[in-house]
Amino acid sequence: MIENQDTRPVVTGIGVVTAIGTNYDEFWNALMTGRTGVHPVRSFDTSPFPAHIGCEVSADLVPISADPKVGRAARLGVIAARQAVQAAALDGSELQDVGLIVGTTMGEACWIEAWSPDQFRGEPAQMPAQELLRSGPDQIGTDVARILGLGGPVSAVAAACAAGNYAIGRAADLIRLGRVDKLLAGGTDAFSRVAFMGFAQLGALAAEACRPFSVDHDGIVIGEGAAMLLVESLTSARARGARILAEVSGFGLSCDAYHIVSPLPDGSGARRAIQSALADAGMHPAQIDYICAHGTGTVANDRAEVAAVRGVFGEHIVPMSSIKALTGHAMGAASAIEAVACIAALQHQVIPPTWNWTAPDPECAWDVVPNVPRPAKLQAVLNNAYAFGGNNASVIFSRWNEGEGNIAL
Amino acid sequence: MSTGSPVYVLGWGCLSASGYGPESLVDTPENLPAPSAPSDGSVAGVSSSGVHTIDGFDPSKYLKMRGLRTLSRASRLAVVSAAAALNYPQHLVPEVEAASVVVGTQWGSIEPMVDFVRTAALDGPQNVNPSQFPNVVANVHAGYLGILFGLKGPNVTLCGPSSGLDAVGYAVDLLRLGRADYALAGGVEALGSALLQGLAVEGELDCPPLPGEGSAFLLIGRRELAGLTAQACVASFATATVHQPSDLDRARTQVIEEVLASTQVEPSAVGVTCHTGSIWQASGRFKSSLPPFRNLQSLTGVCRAADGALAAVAAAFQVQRHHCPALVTVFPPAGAQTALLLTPL
Repeated sequence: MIENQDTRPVVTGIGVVTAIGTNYDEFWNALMTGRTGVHPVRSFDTSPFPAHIGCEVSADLVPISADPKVGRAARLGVIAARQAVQAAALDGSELQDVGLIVGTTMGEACWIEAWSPDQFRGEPAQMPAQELLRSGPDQIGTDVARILGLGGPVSAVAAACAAGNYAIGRAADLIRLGRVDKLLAGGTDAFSRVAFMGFAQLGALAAEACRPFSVDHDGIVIGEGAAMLLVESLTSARARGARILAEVSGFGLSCDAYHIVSPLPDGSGARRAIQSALADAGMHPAQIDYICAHGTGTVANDRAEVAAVRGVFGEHIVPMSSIKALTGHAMGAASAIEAVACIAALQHQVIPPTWNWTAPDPECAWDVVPNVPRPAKLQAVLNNAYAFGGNNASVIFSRWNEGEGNIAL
Repeated sequence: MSTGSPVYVLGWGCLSASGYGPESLVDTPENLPAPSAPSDGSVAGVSSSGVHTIDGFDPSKYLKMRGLRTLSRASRLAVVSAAAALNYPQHLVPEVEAASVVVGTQWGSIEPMVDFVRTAALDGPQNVNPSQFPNVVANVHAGYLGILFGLKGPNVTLCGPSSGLDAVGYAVDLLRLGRADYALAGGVEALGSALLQGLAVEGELDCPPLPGEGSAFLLIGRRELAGLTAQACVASFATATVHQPSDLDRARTQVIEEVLASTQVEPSAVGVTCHTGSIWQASGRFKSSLPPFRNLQSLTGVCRAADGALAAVAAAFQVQRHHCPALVTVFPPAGAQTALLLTPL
């Protein structure tokens, strides 16, 4: 630990792997051009379901680990974490001091999803039940840390679809508290038949496309992916001459305490998370230049989020967009992927649009930046995430204005 | 853990195979014969007689509350202990937006996921029950605690074998950072046939301590609530991550040193230790100055994430009873090694 340090948390490396790109450049290019990650689902038979589309990361693009005991979510996390470490210009010896906080929804569901009906039907002794012991969310953090050789503290946060923001916010808090200098923080989730089935039974899957905030929004498109940020103290970053991409200015959490799957319709819980993040950052709503929405494309979520935003920003209409139209909903990775979009927006000074938008839902009346990237002067951006259990998390990223920190990656 | 305004323990609750309430952890002779593993050597049917299960568990034995039918076993275990910690329904936290929930669990959603996938595999995906879908998501227990007790502050789920005690440390951070004024913090773990099958294959049913299930929560806060007076102080918390077995002793000694040094409590002043995890003998200056480490797993079984929380509840109860500092340690064979010091008011 460095003494007399400035413990402001800054981002010095990012990594992202999604259905629209398996590195930062591809990802940002897709956000700018509208290249979709939505395709017919390849990894399992969707004929029993009302929807048949998803956002899967191509198996050809994701190198499969030589270790068959490492699940897909961990493998996606490793790819993103390696990119972040490389972007942060950390060498192997420095990884001994780097910790990890990984957010996820269900852990490694792949092991259980792979069981055959005969295995369920047969004697309990025939169930490969020892795989269960590797399916918990914490196994992802254990595997990612082991493969990368991380020597710092490792933890896993399960906050469903808000997990990425939870991880990033917790990393920022630990750095502010002076407990650690550097942490990889983000989220990962693999394309899941369990998630597909569950959301199908809830009637929440979109039939043809994800259309956040649009009058014809009808649900989510299940996705997968991972994103990791290298978050470190400002003193640590300066001491090693790291390129600073953004500052984690504020973080807020709240709970709706309303319903296990549905958000509070008036958005009051989500509003409190935004207000908490603003207070944490010492910012006024007028200082936010762009909102990266949770924007799943369900009627309930879209309307609740606009209500929350309206409750905070009032007549100050801050541009807000959702990238899930292209990436799908990557569950625990979603808000970490959206954090990368936030940082990229700050770097490029361009707001990624809400693609697939056709016409306004009267109850989602807001500037949702439809279909065209928008150059803008961006100093601070807000990243929202909402989840089962009424878990709400908002993170604020600020542009770093020192020296040559503001060059494109 | 930074210094600052005190963090008080305002309430507690726990349930395990040893019983309900902290008395079941501290008033039971530690050297009771451990339950034996199934004698026929098979695990077919996964008899519960060999492990520390809460047989016949029914939340209505402990509290009157509706709306629990669709909850998983782990969530219902959590509700029972949380209700006790909150002194529900006699006293409710008034500032609900400043009341946080932090839950640790390792496998709390695995059995529901197995059931969910089994139904899809055998009966068709169109027959899975949508009300069971939330139970496959690891943060469901914390979510239900927020809903059922109306707690609207930060709602957090940590995952891992020591996450029940980690949850207490996380909650203290929330209070110190001003993100909450109160926190319900603890852990839960539930057993089911699929998990027991897996543990049997891994040899964890071969000899004591055998697997267990349970839940435990502390209610902590920066000030007292009406009707809930402070029982103890959360003095300090420390954790060290171990990646190599050769570092275990060093890390365990380090976290004990940290929690004692930050509060200037002498080892000889510690009256109680509540320990869970690997059997470990303190060395060096702690060897003769700390009380013997009392391992609760002989009573509760190995309850994974709930272990540390059970130990914390036992320790808080002992602080109130004996007016002496209590040291809680969670020392798994790998990963985070954690210590918590509770002191009298």
